[in-house]
Amino acid sequence: MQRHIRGTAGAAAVLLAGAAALSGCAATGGAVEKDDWSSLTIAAVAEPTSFDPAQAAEANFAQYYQPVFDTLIRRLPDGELAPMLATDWRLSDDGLTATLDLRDDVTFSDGTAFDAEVAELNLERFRDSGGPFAANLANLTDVVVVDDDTIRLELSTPDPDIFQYLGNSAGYMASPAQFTGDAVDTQPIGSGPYELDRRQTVTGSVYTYVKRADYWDQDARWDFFETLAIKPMLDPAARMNALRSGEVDTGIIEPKSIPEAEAAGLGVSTFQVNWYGLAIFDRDGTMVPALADVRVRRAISYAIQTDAILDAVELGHGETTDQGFNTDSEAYLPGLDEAYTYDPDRARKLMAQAGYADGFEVTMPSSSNMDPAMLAAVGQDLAAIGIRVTWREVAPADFIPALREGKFALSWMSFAQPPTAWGTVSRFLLPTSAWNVFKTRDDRIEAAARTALANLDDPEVYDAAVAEINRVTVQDAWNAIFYRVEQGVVTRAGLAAEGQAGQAAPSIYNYSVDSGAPEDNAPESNAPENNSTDSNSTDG
Amino acid sequence: MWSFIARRLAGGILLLVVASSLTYLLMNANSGGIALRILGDQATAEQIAAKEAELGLDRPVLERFGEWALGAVRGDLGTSWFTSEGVWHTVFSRLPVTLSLVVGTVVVTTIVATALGVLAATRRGRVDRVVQVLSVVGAAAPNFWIGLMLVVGFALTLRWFPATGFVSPAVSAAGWAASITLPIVALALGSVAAVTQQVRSAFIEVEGRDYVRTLRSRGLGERTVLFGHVLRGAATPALTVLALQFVGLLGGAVVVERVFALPGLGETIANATTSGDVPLVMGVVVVSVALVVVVNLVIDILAGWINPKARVS
Repeated sequence: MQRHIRGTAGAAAVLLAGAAALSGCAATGGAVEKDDWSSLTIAAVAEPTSFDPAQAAEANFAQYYQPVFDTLIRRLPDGELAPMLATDWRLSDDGLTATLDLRDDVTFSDGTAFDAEVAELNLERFRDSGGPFAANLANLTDVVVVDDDTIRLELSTPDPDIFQYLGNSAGYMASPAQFTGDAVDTQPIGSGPYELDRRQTVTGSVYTYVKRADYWDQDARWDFFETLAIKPMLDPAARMNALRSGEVDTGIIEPKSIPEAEAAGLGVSTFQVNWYGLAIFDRDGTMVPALADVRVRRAISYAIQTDAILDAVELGHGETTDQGFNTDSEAYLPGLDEAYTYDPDRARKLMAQAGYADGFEVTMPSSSNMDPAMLAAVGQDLAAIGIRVTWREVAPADFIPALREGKFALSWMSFAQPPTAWGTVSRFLLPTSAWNVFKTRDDRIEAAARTALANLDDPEVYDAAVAEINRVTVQDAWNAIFYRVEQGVVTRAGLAAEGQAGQAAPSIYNYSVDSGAPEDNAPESNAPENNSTDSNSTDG
Repeated sequence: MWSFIARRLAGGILLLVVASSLTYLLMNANSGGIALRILGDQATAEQIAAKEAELGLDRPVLERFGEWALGAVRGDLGTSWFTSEGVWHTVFSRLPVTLSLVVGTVVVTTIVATALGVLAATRRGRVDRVVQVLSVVGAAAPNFWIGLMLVVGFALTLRWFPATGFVSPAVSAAGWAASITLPIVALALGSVAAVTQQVRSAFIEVEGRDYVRTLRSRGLGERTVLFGHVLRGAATPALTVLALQFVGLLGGAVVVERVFALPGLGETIANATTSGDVPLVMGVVVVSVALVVVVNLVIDILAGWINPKARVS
């Protein structure tokens, strides 16, 4: 018997030692060098549902559409606008008419010429197809073809972001042939620098794009690759392993994986996309009456130890703040980054003043893809001022629908910070906004929004109006925002990637080979319009 | 024999009907967020309502199931709601990946588990104990962890195999073998452990039977007795466990395919289930159930062929 045990223990020890040796290897596998940059492979965190441009999603999905579809206007990495299929654009003083001058030398990959009528077809189709971002053109009443290379967009209400939309999904231009064929969802026909190669594409595994020899902009200032492959890799560990082994060249990672990527010799650049924090949806107290009291909402903001959470959960990759507007937007006010600093005593006083000295109960959603340490910290900080949280587990896929359906008064959330102030106002703060779940109204916000729209031609008044909206939402603690998190973009040695303002994954124009770029890929000269960051937009 | 096959096939069809009905009902028990998930978080209430009408989510479940079933009988499994791709196309482009993985694992399991089981049963003593410990560890170690350890050791450090991805055998046979090796090892460890135990105990049990003693007393060579008779007798229970393993491996593939970013059915069904892609989930369920029915039938026939005593009439 004793011998048996000894034998067993010995065998187990050998196995454990083997496993430990394997684990110990983790830090030794450095990144693989790449010499031939004729191809680029990107690991993506999402997968497109359709290649119909009217059904296109944005953010992480943009990488799938940009290779095949040019947009009317191009968004530069910093959010400024530049010419693409449109060479010039302007908005009338009343903000109700947008005029675009179009290129007349562009052909789609099927040989069809791009002109004003094709642009009209695409824009009207986008508005009418009920796609994810169709609402962006909901106020488009008419597209007038002025001549072959000029269109006029008639709007029912002014929209400061109209040219931003035309640089995103609303601006994708497809050949009319794509809409008449039976492969509208699977075979894109655009004017972009690449074509989707269906034979080398396996849905869910790899999307392969090949360079077009006859792309209209041979002088484009981004690097072309002979082939571009995008691999959806939903598992963060698989993504990191693929980056480390050189099977993909670039991808985005969570802040907490940044040290591992750096240790493996990969390049990491960071940029800010989202804010993390508590979204307070029920500001009128429909579900949880206490949340209607501004003192209670402020108390929540004072109660959370945001810098500790930033350090523990994101390893410090971010900046604490209390405002939801992008630092590049017209509404950004640096002082509001420190509007509420951690002060539990003050929070308790505010709770007492509001008549909630004994606190109250609230149910918040938790999900398996959330960091348990973060949830624990939030629950603890709220409990310290008497707010007792009951966590209800929600499947990751049901999380967003549950919030949008108004099932929770309050939730931890990660929200995008659009590059323009109006992007935040229109998505989150107006009674019509998709993410104003309980349709909270505030006279000051609505008045300031009206002032902004009435002064699109006066940047000073416009900027002051959107800044006022920011001030009101922070003062009234519409949300308890913790920090702006830094998104990590990992690249192999030899490749550089620039973050795209307001978009989680870099645009495909933002990748460049550091040195030794293939000869035929090197930009020869720069067409004047490509240097232009002159923005005719109303963003000021 | 033929009536046995016919009965098993009829049972299989019944299983298919029950499994697909239950899956359809379960998938539709919570269809609230589907339109929003397709459209994205900025969609308006009107867009969501329009999308739900387009998908038929505003109609009664039974009516939709009837429609789906009629289509399925005619061989039309519809189109995925989330990828716009035909369900047959998706399933058949991913089936080779999962079959490579599962069949490869079954082959490896059969060979390794038989060798280890026989070794443990015939040698006993220290060899037996080492095999037993290995089995326990193999059964206890989660396959995602084994997968990650294999990636760290053999893909990132030694660089013998790719860390992620699948190469079709049509593109490169060597590439295919390289891409599938680590996933098979990760998946096989658990099933080798289970089947080894089964082979070992069945072998010991059969070896102790009277007819084996009779064979030995008649002067038959030890090798003939062990491999010609004992192993044959021990094969039936081992095959049964192997068949069960096959079904389990289809489930285990979900995890391993994710770790190695393999575009297989497991990864597909995991994503389709969480997102609520009803047509795709139904397609995968139909094909998997059919596969399990066929495999079980083949195993039963095989068991009868190897060991006439297990033959069914």
